[in-house]
Amino acid sequence: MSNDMLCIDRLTKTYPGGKRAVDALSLRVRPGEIYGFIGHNGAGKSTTIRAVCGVMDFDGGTITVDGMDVRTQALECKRRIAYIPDNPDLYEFMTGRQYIALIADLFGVAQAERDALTARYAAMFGMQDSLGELIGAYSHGMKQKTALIAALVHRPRLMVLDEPFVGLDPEASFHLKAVMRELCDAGSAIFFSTHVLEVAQKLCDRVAIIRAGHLVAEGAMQEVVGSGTLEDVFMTEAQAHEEQ
Amino acid sequence: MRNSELGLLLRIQAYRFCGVNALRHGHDKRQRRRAMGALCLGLGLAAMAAGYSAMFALMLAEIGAADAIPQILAMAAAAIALVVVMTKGPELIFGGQDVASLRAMPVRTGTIVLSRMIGVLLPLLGTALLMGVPAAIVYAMNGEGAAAGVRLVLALCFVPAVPAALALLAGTVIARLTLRMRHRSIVAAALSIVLVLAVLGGTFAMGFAAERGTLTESMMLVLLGRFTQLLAGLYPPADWVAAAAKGSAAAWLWLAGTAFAALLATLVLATLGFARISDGLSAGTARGRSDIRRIRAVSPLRSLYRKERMRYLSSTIYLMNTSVGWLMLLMAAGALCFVDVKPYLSLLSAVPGVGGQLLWLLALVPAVLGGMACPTACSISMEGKQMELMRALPVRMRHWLGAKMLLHLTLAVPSILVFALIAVLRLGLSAGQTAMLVLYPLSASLMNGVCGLVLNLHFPRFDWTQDTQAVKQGMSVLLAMLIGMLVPIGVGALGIWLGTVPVVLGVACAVQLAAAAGLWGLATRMRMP
Repeated sequence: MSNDMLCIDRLTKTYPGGKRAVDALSLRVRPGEIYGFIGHNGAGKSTTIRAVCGVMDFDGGTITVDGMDVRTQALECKRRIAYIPDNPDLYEFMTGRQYIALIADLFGVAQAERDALTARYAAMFGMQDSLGELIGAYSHGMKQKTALIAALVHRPRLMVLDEPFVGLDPEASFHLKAVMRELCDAGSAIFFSTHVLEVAQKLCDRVAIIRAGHLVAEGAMQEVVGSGTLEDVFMTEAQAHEEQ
Repeated sequence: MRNSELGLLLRIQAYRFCGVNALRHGHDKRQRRRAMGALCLGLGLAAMAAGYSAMFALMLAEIGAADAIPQILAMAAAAIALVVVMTKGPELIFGGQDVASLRAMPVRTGTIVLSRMIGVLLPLLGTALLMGVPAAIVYAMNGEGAAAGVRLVLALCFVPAVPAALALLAGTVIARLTLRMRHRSIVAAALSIVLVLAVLGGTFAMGFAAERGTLTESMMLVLLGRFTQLLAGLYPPADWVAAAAKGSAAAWLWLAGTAFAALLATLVLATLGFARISDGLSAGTARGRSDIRRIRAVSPLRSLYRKERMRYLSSTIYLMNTSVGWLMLLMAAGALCFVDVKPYLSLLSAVPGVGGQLLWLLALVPAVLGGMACPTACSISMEGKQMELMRALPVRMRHWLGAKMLLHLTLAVPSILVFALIAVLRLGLSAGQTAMLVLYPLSASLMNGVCGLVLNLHFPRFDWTQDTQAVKQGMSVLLAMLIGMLVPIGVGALGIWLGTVPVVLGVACAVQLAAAAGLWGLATRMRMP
């Protein structure tokens, strides 16, 4: 059994109508790693992320989380994952506090632990005074913060985030980066997509670039970017693809 | 076609209608098959409604009351318009997820309101015609002539306008009054139901009591087929429809004049108040009402049940449409407390085959009313965009579906027990009749609830922009309503036909419980849609 936190092996997904969104994609995320997933719009990032989280079925390949298959051991995998989609559609008829309690109940987080972690992360993201209000009255950023607090309350082994920095204010972005590093130091792993290449370069231990469903570059950040920047690598790959 | 503002807005509504655009341009074969199935079901239901209307008109003609057809049709069309628009009108005109993008477009507010009003009125017109055409044919064939039949159909087209306008006005006032309330959905639903019942009940009470004497006299008029005499003056536009069908120019003027005046007034008022009402409806509960209480940790099932309760109470449409049967049952129970029903029972006992089995058949009343609308049939669709959230969480199917079933039973069980208790006290039922009055509706309710879940798992709809689309327009909702109402009616008919109502009810109880258990097993093994 591998000790990868996330192992994607030859993942293939074709949508009805024949569009192949992801084609034989393979990558591995180890415990303690922050793994950046980069690609242009429609490259297959969100499809891959949704397949990893069990939100979407796929046609070929395997995905394992902490050694467990997402198809056959879906519930066990989901217990280890926290998924933050790019546009967190939370239950607008609940207050932030009620939503966090729901997630904590579903993950079986003990009362004392949830209270302590909610208080800590609410203070960190500046949400102490807002969690009692209905989510329907929240801005995009506040919904994003609520989703993050709910995710962090159950101490996930693998955190999967789709464009996590969109809509967050600079202070919240700073704290999120710190929390991501803290989680990884405690043995968890982070797998996230972003279009902000500077952030990815500074934050990630490893990176993968996907284009038209294929992985075009993958490895430790230093290996991939060399002496240049992630942006240079990304643009070079884009140019090469266009020439093909 | 010229791309006028109104034309463009109507086209957007047409694209959304029954998912027709997704059907045209989508590639998902399964979705296409389902849409075709929904279309076939819709056509089947329309045919059934038309057939029912024709049969009712034939029955009236048979008892010599064909001249009452126009008034009854007009009152039915008006009542449907009143109830439908009161429950969902304000959201359809002022709400919806696309309201912000529409308001951002360079389109006049009046055009937005007009396009949405047309979207509300066209289905009402369709319903009026669906009922009207078959009945008008019967009317024409019973001595009134083809011209009168055509005039009747045309006159019916004007009927929904006035009740729709009044219901929209009342619904909007209720929505505005309850905007700042934390539990506005419950208050709005309660006020709407009370208002609809007050209007309908008040009209009939006035008609029966004040003008036509006692209940017994009214019954005699019904039995003698003199409906027209009974209905005259009950609802003036219905009298105008009857007169218009006979060719009265004055009646046409009244009908058309009131319809256009009501629609114009509604258009002007709704346009003037559009921004404020729309802002209010789309806003959450007023800020500053922060609930900072500590929330106790509970099991996943209880937590999901709490979520289902909150969802239920957050939507007026969801609440009103799926509790209507149980509310009617509670009102029937209330009526039992104050009204002497013995004359009705003796009248019904005269129906061949019913005789001494009438009190056993009482068990079908809660089952039929409860079968009218079941929250489970749309509770999965109501997850909407948040379904992705649920898919990503470590939730067992039995917990997810169990929470939805618990919500359904929270409505059903107390209503059934209250009705049974009052019926026992007022009607002096035997032990067997009492047991059946509780057991049969409970078993029916269990089966309907699970059946609704299975149907909604097969026919989920998450792409809605207004609650109404999930609550009222889903295939699962239509099928669950058909099953929920037709099964008890069929059981009753079978019992009367065989002459052994108690035995048939007992067998039906066992079959329904077995079906509920089987369907539950099937549902919990299915995957989340």
